[in-house]
Amino acid sequence: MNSKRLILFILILVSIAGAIIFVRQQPDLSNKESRVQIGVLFPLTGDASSYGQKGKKAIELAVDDCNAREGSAGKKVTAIFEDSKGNPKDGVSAAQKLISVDKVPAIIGDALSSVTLPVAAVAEPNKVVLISPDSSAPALTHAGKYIYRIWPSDLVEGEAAAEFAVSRGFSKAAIFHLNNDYGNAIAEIFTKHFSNDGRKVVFNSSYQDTTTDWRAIVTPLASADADVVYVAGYYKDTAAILRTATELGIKAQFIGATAIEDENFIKLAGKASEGIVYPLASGFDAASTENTDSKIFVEAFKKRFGYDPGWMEAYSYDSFMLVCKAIASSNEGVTGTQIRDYLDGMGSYHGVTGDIKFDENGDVIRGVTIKTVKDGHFVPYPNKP
Amino acid sequence: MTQLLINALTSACLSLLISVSFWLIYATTRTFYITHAATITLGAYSCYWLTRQWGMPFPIAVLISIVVVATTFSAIDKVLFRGLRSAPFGWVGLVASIGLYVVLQNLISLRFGDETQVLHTTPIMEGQQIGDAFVSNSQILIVIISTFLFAGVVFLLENTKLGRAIRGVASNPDMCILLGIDKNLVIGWAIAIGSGLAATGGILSGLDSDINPMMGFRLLLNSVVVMIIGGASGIRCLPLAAIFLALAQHTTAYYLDAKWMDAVAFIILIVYLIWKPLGLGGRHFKKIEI
Repeated sequence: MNSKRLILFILILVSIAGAIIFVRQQPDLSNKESRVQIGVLFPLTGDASSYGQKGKKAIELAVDDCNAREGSAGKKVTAIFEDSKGNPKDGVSAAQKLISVDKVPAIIGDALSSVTLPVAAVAEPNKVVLISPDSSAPALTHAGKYIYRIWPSDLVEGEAAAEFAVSRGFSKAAIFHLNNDYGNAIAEIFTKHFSNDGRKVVFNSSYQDTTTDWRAIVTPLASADADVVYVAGYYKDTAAILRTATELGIKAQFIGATAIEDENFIKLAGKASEGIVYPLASGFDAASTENTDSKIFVEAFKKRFGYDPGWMEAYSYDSFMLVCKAIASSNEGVTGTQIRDYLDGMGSYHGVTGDIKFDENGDVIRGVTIKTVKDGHFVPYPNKP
Repeated sequence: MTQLLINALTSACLSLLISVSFWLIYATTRTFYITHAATITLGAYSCYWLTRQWGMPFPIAVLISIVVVATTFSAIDKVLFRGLRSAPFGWVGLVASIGLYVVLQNLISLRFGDETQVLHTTPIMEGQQIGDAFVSNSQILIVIISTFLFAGVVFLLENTKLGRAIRGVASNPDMCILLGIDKNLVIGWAIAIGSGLAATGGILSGLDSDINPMMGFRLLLNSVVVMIIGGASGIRCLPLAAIFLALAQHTTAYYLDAKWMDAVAFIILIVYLIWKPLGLGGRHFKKIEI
């Protein structure tokens, strides 16, 4: 009995001592190699996994480029991928893991505004920089001093869509919008910029992207008498709406959101996708780029993954390279505050998506171009009417 | 207005088909069989796989998918659920069926990805014009096939030996054993037929609005509401319930807003559970007390 207790006591002592030694050793290890870990939070599974998987490939490439080109300051930069599943709850717990367990100074992510917003609320008080490649919710503008994005706010996209409709002389608009932050925000901005000088929104409907019955949603449009239809949603639902509208014999000019530029969109909507117009934040187009850095990026990406990168890949790449630059510029330890100070003071960065410059809110300053779908490809919209 | 009625009829036919397939399994096994959602999805995906990866002609792929899904789920029932039916708690079957659903749905996601896939092979075009309404080919297919299959199930239940056995097991399983009806065999057939019908429903829905790994659950949810307001004791009132629910949903989307469609389905469900808990076709039977 006594000897058993003694053995148990010794075992407990040894394990406690082991744990203390292990914990003590941790910081020593990381200091020696001077490793910097960057968190990457993307929807790798779930409905939005298409964005996340693309971003992940681009970041894998960016990590290698960063260590080869920029990481000259003797630091080895690695990325830790976490899956947000496109869902705010999972996104926040993944971000908390990155911040408290991995102690990352910066997080790249998320692809969806609905996840980036709650994650920003976790990153800001922990002084961790959050750079989103493509989150566009207007609410992110004032999310905090550590929150950045290299994609313009929806204010810009919704405004550009409305400007296009106005410039083509349309006067009666119909709006379908996805019932989430993104859809609601751009629909509202479109309405605000479109309804004046006798123009008005004659039909406004919101939908859930979980529906399987698109006919019920699109049917009221037939009797709405609109000459232009703005679909404020992602590519899946926009494709379903276009397809149903074609089957219902609706012939109006459709305007989509930036999120429709995805090769799956054309696969899903088929011929119904022809002629839809959408605004895209200017700066990246794999086919017609003049930017040397973009060309190098497209070449390297194609060599490694076998296809031409789209905007999601390019914006993810630039987000990571920005952090990489910030890390390389530091002579001491890398912290969230140090990265933030670098981003605020860097002026303009020439990336594969064009020049990136932040305003005082961490929003990027860039223009928007209008594009369309022609013969199954995304092409710039011809400027001549 | 014509368009609204035609659309409602299409959704009603689809949920009728799936609710009758669910009823066959629910009534005989007394299990709230959530795995059915995976059956629906699997039917659509196997059809997609056979046509895309193997280049099979569409009708043959449909037939093979239905037969394969029907036999697979009948076999799964024999291996997994038969033993659970004698468990002391009624919940065991439900929990096992949820578990199996999650596993199957994830397997489909792993193999085919979470993205929406296109099942139809014909180009998207304007539907046939009837008055001021447009009807697509997939809608015509849904209405004809669903009505035909529902009539087939009614015929089976009313006029064949197997059908009478299914009704027998549904109303009193213990008595069936006394009368020498092989309960497990009857359940096996009911699951095979129910799964085959569900696979058909999945393929039809896929033709109409593309396929993704979550599609089955969404279709099943609506159909379960139809089954409950139709009365789970028989299938006579299912068509009425299906049309009622579809009309309510489509009118809501037309006059109010599409985001309320799901809410309307569940409001109707709650009203029914309070006001007529046995559904449209439900009757109270006198119990014989001994």
